[in-house]
Amino acid sequence: MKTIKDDDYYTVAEVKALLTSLCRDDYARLAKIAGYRASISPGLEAQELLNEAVVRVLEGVRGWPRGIDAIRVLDMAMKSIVNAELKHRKVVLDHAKREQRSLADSVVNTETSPTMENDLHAEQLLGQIFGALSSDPEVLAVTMGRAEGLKGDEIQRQFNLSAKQYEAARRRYTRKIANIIPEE
Amino acid sequence: MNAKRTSSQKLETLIDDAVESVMAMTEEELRQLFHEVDTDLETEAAWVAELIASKVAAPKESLIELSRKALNEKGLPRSVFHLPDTAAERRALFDWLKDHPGLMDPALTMAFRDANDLSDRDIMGILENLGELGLLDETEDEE
Repeated sequence: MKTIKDDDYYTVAEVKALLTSLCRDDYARLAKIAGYRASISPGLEAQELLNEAVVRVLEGVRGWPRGIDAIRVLDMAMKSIVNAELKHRKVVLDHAKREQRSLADSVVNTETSPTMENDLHAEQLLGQIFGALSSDPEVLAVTMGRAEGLKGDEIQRQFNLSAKQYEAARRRYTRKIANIIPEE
Repeated sequence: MNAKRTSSQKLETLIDDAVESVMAMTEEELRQLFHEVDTDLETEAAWVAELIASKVAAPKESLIELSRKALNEKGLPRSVFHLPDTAAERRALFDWLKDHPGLMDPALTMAFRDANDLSDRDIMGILENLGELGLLDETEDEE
């Protein structure tokens, strides 16, 4: 079994050199990606999120495995920060609801869980995305299928697309998805 | 059949796809992407570059210097290498190395990606550094 050694990760000095050697287009890619990732968590700003990811990578909180692209590493760090943020929000909301219940000393409606509240925001964004694709039903089908975690053949079956239709729609999806994800 | 996914999971999958799409975009496609939301590539790149610069400050050593130091610390023998005689041949070797990312650490390839404006002297310096680090074996002479 392969064990992870310190040598498998860049040192802090190497991380600094790598981050400052990125080209302009990569910085622009990071700006866009930060906007996408921040959109999941209401109130979170792209700059704040990217700043936190850079700090974690620089401080070694988030290890940077040798050979992995800088954008990939910072994207993974941002994704993990957002997920932690959503979990934190769930805990806080859970606690607030328990307090509310104990104050009222009665059973309140528990049908709206904090997870559902996080999901409400995601649902709104999904609505915007699907709405933006309503003029292209085949791309909409691919998008809905991807969102459900379906594989290509499953999307074809479920939405009754021929292999050719699916391939063409998948290519259009790849071009369009970057344009229609709302940013923070 | 997939288990029922939450809206957050669905959104995350679409964002993952958007990230992959952005990572694969050419400069022109990126420009168009920013243009559609009324901003531009330079403005967006600038705030990220500024943010990173403010966190990193000036790196004390370049990646090449760090690699050289690491090799020295490991006590590895200095590499013997021969560079082509003409600037054109050296540029061709440099381009060849750049187009074969598997030969070099991806981080180095990444650092040289925007190398169109490099002078012959810059290229000579980079090749010398790469040679010193043992990345230019005799086999490269064939190219």
